[in-house]
Amino acid sequence: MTPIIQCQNITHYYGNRLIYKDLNFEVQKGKILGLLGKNGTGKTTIINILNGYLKPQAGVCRVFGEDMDKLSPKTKGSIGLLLEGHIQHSYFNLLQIEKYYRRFFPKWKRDAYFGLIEKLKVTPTQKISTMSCGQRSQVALGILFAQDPDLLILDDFSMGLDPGYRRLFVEYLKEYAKDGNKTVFLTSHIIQDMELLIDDCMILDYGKILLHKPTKELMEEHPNQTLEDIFIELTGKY
Amino acid sequence: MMKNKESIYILVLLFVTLVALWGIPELVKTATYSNDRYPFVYFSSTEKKLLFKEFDGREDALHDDEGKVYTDKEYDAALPLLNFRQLTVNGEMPDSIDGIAIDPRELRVKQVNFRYGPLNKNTPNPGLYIMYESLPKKAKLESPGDLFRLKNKIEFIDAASNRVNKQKSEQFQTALLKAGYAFPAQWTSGNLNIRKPYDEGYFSLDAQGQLYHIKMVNGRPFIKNTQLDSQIEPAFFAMEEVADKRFYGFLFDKKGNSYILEEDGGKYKTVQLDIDPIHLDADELMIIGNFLYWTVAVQTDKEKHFYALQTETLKRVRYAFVEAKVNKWEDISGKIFPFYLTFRDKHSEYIAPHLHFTAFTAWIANVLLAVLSLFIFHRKSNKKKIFIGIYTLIFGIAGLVALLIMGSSTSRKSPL
Amino acid sequence: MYKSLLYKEWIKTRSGIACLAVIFLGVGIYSFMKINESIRLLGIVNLWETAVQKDPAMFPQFKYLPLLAGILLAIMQYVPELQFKRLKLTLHLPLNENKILLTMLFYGVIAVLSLLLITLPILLLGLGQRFPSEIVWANFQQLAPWFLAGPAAYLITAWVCLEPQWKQRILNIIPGIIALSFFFLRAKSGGYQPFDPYLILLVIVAFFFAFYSTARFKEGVQ
Repeated sequence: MTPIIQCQNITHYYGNRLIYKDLNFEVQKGKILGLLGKNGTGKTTIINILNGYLKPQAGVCRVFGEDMDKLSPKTKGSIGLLLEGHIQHSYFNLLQIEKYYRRFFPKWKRDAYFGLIEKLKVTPTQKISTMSCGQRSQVALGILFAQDPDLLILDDFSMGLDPGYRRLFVEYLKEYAKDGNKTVFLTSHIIQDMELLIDDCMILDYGKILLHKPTKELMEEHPNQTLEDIFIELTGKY
Repeated sequence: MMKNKESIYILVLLFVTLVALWGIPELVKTATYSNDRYPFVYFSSTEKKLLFKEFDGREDALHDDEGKVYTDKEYDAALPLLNFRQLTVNGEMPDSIDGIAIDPRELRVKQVNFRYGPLNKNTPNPGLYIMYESLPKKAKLESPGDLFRLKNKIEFIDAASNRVNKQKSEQFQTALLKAGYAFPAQWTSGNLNIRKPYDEGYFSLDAQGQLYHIKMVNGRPFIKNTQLDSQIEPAFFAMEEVADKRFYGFLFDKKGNSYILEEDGGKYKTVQLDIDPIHLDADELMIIGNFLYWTVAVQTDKEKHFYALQTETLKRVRYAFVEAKVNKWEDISGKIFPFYLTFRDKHSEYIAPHLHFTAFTAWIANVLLAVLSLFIFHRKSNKKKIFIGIYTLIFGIAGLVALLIMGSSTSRKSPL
Repeated sequence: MYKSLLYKEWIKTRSGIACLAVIFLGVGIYSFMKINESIRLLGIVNLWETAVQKDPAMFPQFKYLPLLAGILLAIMQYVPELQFKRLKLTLHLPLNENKILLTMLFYGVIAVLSLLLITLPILLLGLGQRFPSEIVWANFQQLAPWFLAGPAAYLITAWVCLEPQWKQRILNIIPGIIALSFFFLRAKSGGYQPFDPYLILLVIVAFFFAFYSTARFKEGVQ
């Protein structure tokens, strides 16, 4: 079976600074992969490359078998993308943004969106830009779940969330991925709670992948340690 | 999106180049342009020579066409008809010249000041004119309260109601047809200024190339075919209601001959100015005349010709010419811009793109710039360098500036 | 789907369009008040004669308004897209990227053009109430390059706004401003007539510029 995401020999520099050299990895269908790394290790860069928003100096990524810079509309429709900081079209209000996105996705799950929105104590005509960070993230994720994509790409989904919200989304994601047809590729710089969510763990350091293996295996190799402990051990404290 | 990137890059690059092809020379021009300072030339009725007054601050600023240098006093005295006010104040004004007594009134009314330039001809025309009463009851001209158009027919439009004055229009239309005027009109020329001393209406060229005089006398149309010599094909007419009423105005034909159009016992007569034909779309003509002589200056792109004509006959009595000095702008543009773009032509009021080619030697600058561009972009691939070199060679400074603004290629440079 | 895309552009720009409509209406009314004032003070005959002798602009207030409308509309549409790189969300929609951008540009051009094409006949018909067709035509010719500057300014501003790199954005502004100055050269009414087709060509060519900026955005130029 072809992997959902396949990256081959990605090499990229910003100016003269090496981000990665010959990066290779794959994500299989039905898995939740967590890309973990400290700030500046190139987590967002990978997401940009995956979605065709950055042309690396060398190498190729394929998503659903299509080259990243030539993703077909259909493929784009089956990828749910969460930008770093839960960025959305915040000039919309809650009803407008639903109206906007609804027409693009044939499988649109209205209830998934409004279910999440109901948890927010806001009026539906409130503009997104006037909401708090946590509320905005809920809107962004609500849209993603309503879209019902086959692949979710989440860039630092936990950023700026308090533990309550973070837990809420971990649960939502688990629920989403449970039947094995959905794939999730997420990055995070907060490692706490990740072992509960991710199937595969990929730890990125400056210029290379330190580790890529199933979380379960990793935890077994390091009994009595949390994923966070393992992460710090591998990457160093600072 | 990526597929068309290269071609859109070329499009944007060409756009920036075009902008630079206009903008950079325009900037250099602003910094260097100076008018051609030709000398002021006037025919001396006493010396019978053309007298020059140079403006470049040289010693022999005042001289005649034979090189004789004048002092200020000699110069003023040699041009009594130009400096008569000053000379009269000083009590140095002669009573007569060549035995002809100088009458101050005649001196005044026989003065002619006329200027023609291509801008007079190549200019948009709204197509509306004012028909004054040529025999006003009062001393001053009065606004008729309407305008008229003359193209496929003549129509007077009343200003107060913004409607066609049918009766007046019909009256003039009938008169025009009766006089043989063939519509549509080619052009109509008159003097719209109400402050003119009197009114002679308009001269209009009809569809068959016949020149008609159209005016309003006592509220009625006055329309006459001028019956010009069939050799004369009118190209432009400038109405000049001159003080002594000797002539209606200046007529230029398609060959560039200049005439005055005189009234001749109820008929029309042309008197040709004894000067070489002028190029109506490029040359400028200036006439300063007094009751004895006219000094006519014709400025072409390269030189300025001066003619002294006898006022009565318009026959040439003296001629001189001066070559243009190469001005700084022409000098510089001929060295650094093989070609450049302007939107304004000094010979036309219309805006349109004009590509100007300067000297062949300016291509040397482009060759040097092409070499420079290869140094600037030395890290590019050979294929790109060929493109950069050729592009700079063709477009010169503008091309290089565009390449610097837009970057020489669409892909980011690799640090390797 | 395109309807949705247009809906997004509408939400972004509706307040701006409303503002512009009010400004155009206000300036339009003011222009006619000025003309009426001149008619009262100088008399219509005098005004007609001045119009043919001196060729004054009857609507000088409208000189830079279309330009401003174009710039404002492009800013309202594309600054939010480039803020936090929201354009990534837009280009990620299940549509062809070129078509997405084309739709957005068309929306803006049509919005600017509608504003201008509604205003223009009102101004000219209004003027035609008291002035003959020649003077109306002369004023149309005077307004034509100013009005064409509207879509041109819109497209050039879109090109500048969508450019992802700040340095390049500033570099784009320079030829952009110079090109826009082509629409404001000093000329008699009718003097622009031979030049208008070139200005229209410039507007058409400028339509493509934003694609170059967007392609750079897609490559991740920073």
